[in-house]
Amino acid sequence: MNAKAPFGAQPIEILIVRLDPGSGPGDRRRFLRCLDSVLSRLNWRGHVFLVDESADGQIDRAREVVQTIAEFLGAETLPTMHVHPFVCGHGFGQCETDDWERLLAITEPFQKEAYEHQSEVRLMVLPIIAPRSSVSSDEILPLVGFFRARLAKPSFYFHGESPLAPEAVIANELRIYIDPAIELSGEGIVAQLRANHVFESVLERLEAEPSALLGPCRRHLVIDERDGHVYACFSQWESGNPLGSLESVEGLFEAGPQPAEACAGCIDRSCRSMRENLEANGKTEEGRQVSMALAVAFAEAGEHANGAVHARMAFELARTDADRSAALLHEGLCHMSLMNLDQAEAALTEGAAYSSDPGLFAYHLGRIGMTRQDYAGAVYRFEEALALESPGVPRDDVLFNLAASYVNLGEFERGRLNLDRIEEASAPVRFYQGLCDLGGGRTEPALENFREALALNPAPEDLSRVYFYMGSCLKDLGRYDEAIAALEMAVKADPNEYANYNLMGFCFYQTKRYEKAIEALYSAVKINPASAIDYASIGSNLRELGRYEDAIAMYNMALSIDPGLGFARENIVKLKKALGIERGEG
Amino acid sequence: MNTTAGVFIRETIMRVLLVDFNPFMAPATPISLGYLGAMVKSHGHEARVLSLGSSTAFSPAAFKSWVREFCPDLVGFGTYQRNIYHIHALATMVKQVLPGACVVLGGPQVTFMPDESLNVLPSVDFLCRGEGERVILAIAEAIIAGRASSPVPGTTSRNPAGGYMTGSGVTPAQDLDEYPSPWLEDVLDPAQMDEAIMLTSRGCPYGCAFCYTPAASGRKIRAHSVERVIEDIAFVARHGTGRLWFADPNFSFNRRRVEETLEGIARRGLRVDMWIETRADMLDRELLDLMRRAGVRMVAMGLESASENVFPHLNKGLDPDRVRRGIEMAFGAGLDVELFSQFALPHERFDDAMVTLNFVKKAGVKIRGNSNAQQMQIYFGSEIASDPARFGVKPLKEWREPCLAIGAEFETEWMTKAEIERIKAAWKAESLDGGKRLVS
Repeated sequence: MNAKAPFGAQPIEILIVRLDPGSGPGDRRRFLRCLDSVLSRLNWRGHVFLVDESADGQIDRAREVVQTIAEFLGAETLPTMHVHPFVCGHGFGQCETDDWERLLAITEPFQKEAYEHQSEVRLMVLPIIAPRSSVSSDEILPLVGFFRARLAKPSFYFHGESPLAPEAVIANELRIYIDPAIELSGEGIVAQLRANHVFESVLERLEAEPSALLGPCRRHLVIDERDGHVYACFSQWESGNPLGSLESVEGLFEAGPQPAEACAGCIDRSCRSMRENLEANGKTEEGRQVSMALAVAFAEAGEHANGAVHARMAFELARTDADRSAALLHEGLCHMSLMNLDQAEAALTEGAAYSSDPGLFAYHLGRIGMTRQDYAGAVYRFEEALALESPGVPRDDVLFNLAASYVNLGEFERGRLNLDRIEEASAPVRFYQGLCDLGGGRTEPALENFREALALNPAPEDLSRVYFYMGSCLKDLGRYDEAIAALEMAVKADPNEYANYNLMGFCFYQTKRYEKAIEALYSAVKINPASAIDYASIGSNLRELGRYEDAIAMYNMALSIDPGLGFARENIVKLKKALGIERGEG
Repeated sequence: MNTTAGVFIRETIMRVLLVDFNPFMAPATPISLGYLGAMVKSHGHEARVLSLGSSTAFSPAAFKSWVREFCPDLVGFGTYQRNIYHIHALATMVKQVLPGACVVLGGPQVTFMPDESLNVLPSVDFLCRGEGERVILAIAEAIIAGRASSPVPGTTSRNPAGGYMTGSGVTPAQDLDEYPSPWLEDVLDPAQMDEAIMLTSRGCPYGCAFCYTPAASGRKIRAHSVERVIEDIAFVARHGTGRLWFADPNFSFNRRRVEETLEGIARRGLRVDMWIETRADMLDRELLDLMRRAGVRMVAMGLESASENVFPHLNKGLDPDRVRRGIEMAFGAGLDVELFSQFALPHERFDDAMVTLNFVKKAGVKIRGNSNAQQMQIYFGSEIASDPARFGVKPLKEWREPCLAIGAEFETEWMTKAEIERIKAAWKAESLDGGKRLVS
């Protein structure tokens, strides 16, 4: 069953509240009333984050909010709320634990209820502690014990580096936030919360909803008491783009989810910034899985640059050679899509060293060679891929690309040999067999292959070339009318291909249809104005039509582009003689 | 509803809401509630089935608003030990917006729940004692006739004069075909489901000590006709994904019936992937081959324990060697296998529990999904629940709320709570999916 209840818009699951330390008692009461009015609109399992960057270790406001939520949960017996007070400047003395004792006492009735009901605790406090100054693990761990004994689960927020080793973090089931900024700020805190939340959302989706990886997170709302506004999500808060004012917050719960088009960018930014957090928490494997999944998702969405970045991150987080090579393969393919051939080559070369299927990498390196028109290099790689019998690439694909590389090197016999080894004849295979035959001077067999390529439904973008080469074979065989028919089909498939018109002009000339030849050649020069030979050919056709002066003009045009065109110069002399111009007669 | 002289008289057409809520897993096909809905609908009433799970996002405000708008006269909840307080919270929300609506709890544990449970479930009007199809109709009829304050057949409710009252027993239909199909009656929509749960038979003739089914079914099996089963499967295959999960406790209890069913599926060319549950001693290679041809992909069997110190005491009548042969045959026929195992069973020491884990590993069964073992759960209706001391079970709490059975809150004469946690950790360490399986 899908998880959509028929109850209208998806509810808010996470509320982030940035508290205003300057608010007076009246403002605080108003705020709590506002909060109370929206709690019943939160998801039945909800999270409330309270951020007060100037708290200096004080948790009075956090206690007020927890009390308000506790009263709500006393009246509504279904919801479960996790409250995450972010406490800056936290000390590690007795007065801090006394303050927490008073706050956590609010959760005791819920713990009793859970015990009696054999169920989960409906009000949990999960403080995020940003220490006042640098602390050691010897100070942190006793505080952890204090919270655990009261069924609270602490996280810690550090700048730059965690004093706890990842093993201690895992063993104590803690969570660490690492903020790269030197000083604490509300923006920095929310950015960290955002990055971690988005990461967790993506991680959750890997199994449950892999096709929606780049979609919106679980619905959340940011209430900024300081500026009096409400924001649709972390990202909109960071952009300073409010949904409405605090006074209208109740109505804003019914607003639709945040715009999806912004989500992919937020996911990209968030997950890129998670490296230190992942290492501090000993979650590099989860990070690798997320990075790799994002790399694929971005590539599928056509965002290959992001795909490459996340693939590289997956590589850096990988701990096995198999994972490293998979990440580098993907990075290489993303760079190939971006035509960053040097980077693609570097990634694939690096990946081959880790891979149990180096033939796969050789194949893709061969494709890079082809793209660079380094066909000799491509041949080397494809031969390597064949020898290595890569299970990751169909053998026919390797053979085809190898053959195409040989053809581009003019080694038609070797090309043909490899094409003949391909099991399944397809339009491209037949086409290249035709090219090899044509290159080897076997025009009739070449024509047959081109015909078979046509019968096998070539891709639309290849149709013009197939027809062109059919025309070329027919031209070589002196079957000009048939050649023209094929070339007309080539033009229909690709009206912008110069070669089609050039050859068509020649064929029309051979059949003495000079007007048609001129028409075709004019189309050729329209596409390629620097083609001297075509101007000269127009001239020849004009000559045959008896339009000598026009012909001379065209020959001159040709010579202006290419002074070395001897036959143009000769024709000018002949035509001027015919016109009597040389002797100044007429 | 209309009023005459201040007395509320209900319309003769009831609006019935049936709610399934699993707070720990994604929503699944509420097949049992689907049957109830089909029964209600076939008698001219309106029925709506709601399936909610841990991944269903909804707010209390939205739920109340929706209930107010739908305005049911009668609300039934599928109830288990693990979700009972969540259910009660939903029932309370219903009462907050519709004080006049009647609330009934049903489910395998409710059948045997003590009457005193009503003391701690103030938002509940009726406890359904037994199979729900005829009982829900009885409640609806009682409400329409204005007799809901008198004992209603198949239920326990509060006696207006104090105490409780239990209506006469309701005999369930002997021929399950009497119950309309939740699929064909358009109560459940297979297009909305990743996989559809089917229930082609009910009950079990065996008397396993840890299970409530023997008490609930009188150790008898009742089944749908083969024709009806094929029609349901065809409908679901046509409109859904074709992935079917058979919740029958013993799918292959009748050899001829299961052959006819599988042959019928194959004959109609129905493209389905099926998961079935059966006893290992009901399998042979010929049957397994037929299963595979018909579309069965996975066979689940009950192992419970592989230790010779334990399984003789379970009254299952099945030894691990037979289970092993069943597994081998299933693999040989190209099917995948899931095994239900438990720990903290009577007579089971820590080493005995490890024997079970090693058996499963050696048999080549992947430890994931239902093959993750779980601690024995003691619920109302099972033999162990009725006399825990006889089975060496020591509840951890002296007192429990009356609606709660022992559940998992126990240790035994043979295993302490700490040892039970060690066994749980040992299974989790071998699990391919982190031991994700929560008991309802």
